[in-house]
Amino acid sequence: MPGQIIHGRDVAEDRRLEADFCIVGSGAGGGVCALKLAQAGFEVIVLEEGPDVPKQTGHGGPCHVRRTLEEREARMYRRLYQEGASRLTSDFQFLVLQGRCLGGGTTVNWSACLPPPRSTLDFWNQHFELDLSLDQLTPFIREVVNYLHIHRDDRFNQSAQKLVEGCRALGLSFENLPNNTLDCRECGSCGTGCPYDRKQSGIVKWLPDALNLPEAAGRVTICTDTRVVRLDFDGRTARSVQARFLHEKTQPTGRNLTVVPRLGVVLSAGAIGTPAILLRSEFPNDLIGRYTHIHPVTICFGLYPDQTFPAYGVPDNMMTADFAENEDHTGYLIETGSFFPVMTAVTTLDFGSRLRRVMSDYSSRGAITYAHNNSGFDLNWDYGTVTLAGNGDPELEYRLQAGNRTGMKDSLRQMTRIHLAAQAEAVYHITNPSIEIRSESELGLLDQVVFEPARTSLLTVHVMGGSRMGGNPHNSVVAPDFRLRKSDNVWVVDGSVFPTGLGANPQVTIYSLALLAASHICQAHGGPFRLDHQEPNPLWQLDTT
Amino acid sequence: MATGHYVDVGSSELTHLSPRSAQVLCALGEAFIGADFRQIVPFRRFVLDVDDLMNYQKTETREDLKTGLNAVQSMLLRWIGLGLFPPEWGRYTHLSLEKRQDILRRLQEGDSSNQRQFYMGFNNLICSSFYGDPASWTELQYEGVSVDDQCVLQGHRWRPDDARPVEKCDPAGPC
Repeated sequence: MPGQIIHGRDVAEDRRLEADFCIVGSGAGGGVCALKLAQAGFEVIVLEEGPDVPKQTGHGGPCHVRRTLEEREARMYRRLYQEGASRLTSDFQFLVLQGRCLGGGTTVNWSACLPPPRSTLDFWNQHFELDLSLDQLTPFIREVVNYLHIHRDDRFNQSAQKLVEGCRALGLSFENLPNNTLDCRECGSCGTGCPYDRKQSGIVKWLPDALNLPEAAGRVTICTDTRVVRLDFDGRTARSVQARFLHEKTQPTGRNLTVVPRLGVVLSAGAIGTPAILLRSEFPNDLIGRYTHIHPVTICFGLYPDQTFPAYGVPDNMMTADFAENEDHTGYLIETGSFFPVMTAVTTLDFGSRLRRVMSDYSSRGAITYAHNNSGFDLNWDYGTVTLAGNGDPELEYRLQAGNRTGMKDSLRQMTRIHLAAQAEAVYHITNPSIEIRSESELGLLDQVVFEPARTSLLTVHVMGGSRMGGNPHNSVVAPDFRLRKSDNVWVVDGSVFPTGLGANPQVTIYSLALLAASHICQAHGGPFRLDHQEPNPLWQLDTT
Repeated sequence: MATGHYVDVGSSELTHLSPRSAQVLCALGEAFIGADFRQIVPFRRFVLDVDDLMNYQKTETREDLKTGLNAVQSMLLRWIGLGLFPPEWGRYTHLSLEKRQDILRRLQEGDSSNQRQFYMGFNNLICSSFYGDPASWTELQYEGVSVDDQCVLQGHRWRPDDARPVEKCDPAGPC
């Protein structure tokens, strides 16, 4: 019997449901667990705070699959992102972009796929008493690569082309960044949800496959528009999950849901959501919410003599990793992006005629580069903390470390050099006051850049940690088998378990760790676990053992 | 001097803003975007859209922004760190565009993070609404989304040195 989706906004009365497992969150961690636990025969309920993204044929014909994902930035940000894409760190320094919809971050990410960096795993193993090697993770990574059709897509937009030209001129290496797309239409709308279902996200792969499992498998029920308030513990055991149904515009409907888990709870609400639930549950561990990490993103725009159509094409499929590794792990990946009017305007700190001129110039002749700066490796620095406001809303306080400030400034310098080497007329920096650099001799202007709130526009799309995993019970929230310490029946399966930042786009790592976690959960409860897609794959040398 | 009246909108049409704060929002919007704001995006559409966006913000952010709009209007600018302005400046909505932009600049360049945070908060509301409106895209030469627009899908060569159409898409046939 196929599973079902319950739209919380339509539920007219309080509900009480029971299942073997309650999974909180439907993103990279929750989607994987839903499929794998159901495959093992367990009955599963998935609770997702955001809305469903219904599949309907659009009026343009059968090509227009997801009518509700119509690429309009302003509307899609509200529908698909936390706080309508206006979530900020508590000091307003970082715009924090996180998915809040069925499929979570997998629905709205730019489809960039990278494996976990070996140096990061080594650091975790050395300092957090873990045993996560690339060799151990290879079967899980291979499963993800094959199942999600991850491959190198050589159809570059102009931002990518300019990165290639700049890197060539400077003698830097560059590489095609793999994507999890299948027959991509290059509309450029990954960040507002793929309207054609070509991105192999949670709403295309893990969740539909979980809902459509054959009868012998466990039944899957997904509740959307359902915000988990807390878990009720009886000693070490979570007895129930308390949730509220939400209206379309995120306000509570007044109807509540209680889920009683027969075997356990899997928390996959992300690196702000999961710690927030544990804090609201008053779970006794002072480390919850601590050591939350982000990849600070620095951005610059090159202005070129020719038209570039920077809003269109695959946004993120070219990068240079030449600056990724350094001794203190404050390196960065430079990747390409697309120009979207709302996101560009919101991050720009200019106003009036200058804002208008910048928007007009760069929307037609711009090329965009982003640097994901690695972070979280200074063990003496308190990076980020998730806390609760009086009404229970989560807040992220984030403190930039000195080495990061140096690395981030260097990333601006290197991105500027790449654009200039690609023959950009000017390179625009979203600082206050804004800076435009026209030649290498002006690079000194970047010395003025100050990383303070509203002095330099910064954002992050990768939030990690807050329920960090480790072998030492005194400095970790989650044990190496993904079990919440001091609990018998709660597992944490999302990016919140990362002990530091990752140093790469994290979706493949979260998927792979989620498969590993699912294998632990199945083993703990005597359920079969299997990997179904182990064909050799040349990507990342997954064709060798 | 401006008349102080920018938009006709009733309280029953608004969830979070008041008709008064809607006037302040428009006065700020014009300062952010320019004197031709209302010729590009009608103020009424803008106000209703911002009010809708505020549904999705967390309570604290929303309340801070409403407080900020009130503070700007009543010129309680000492509270947000700008110091007292000459009394003849009166209410924000009644100031000339030049003076409104001057206040905006002081917020933008303010020494205290409080001032700059208000600037960012206003920037977020105003820019996401103005540039989210297709009417603002003409001057960007941005042709909008591609789902419903075959010209966008097939007309632009955003892949350099590649003349292939993006996709041979027959609306009547299978994809």
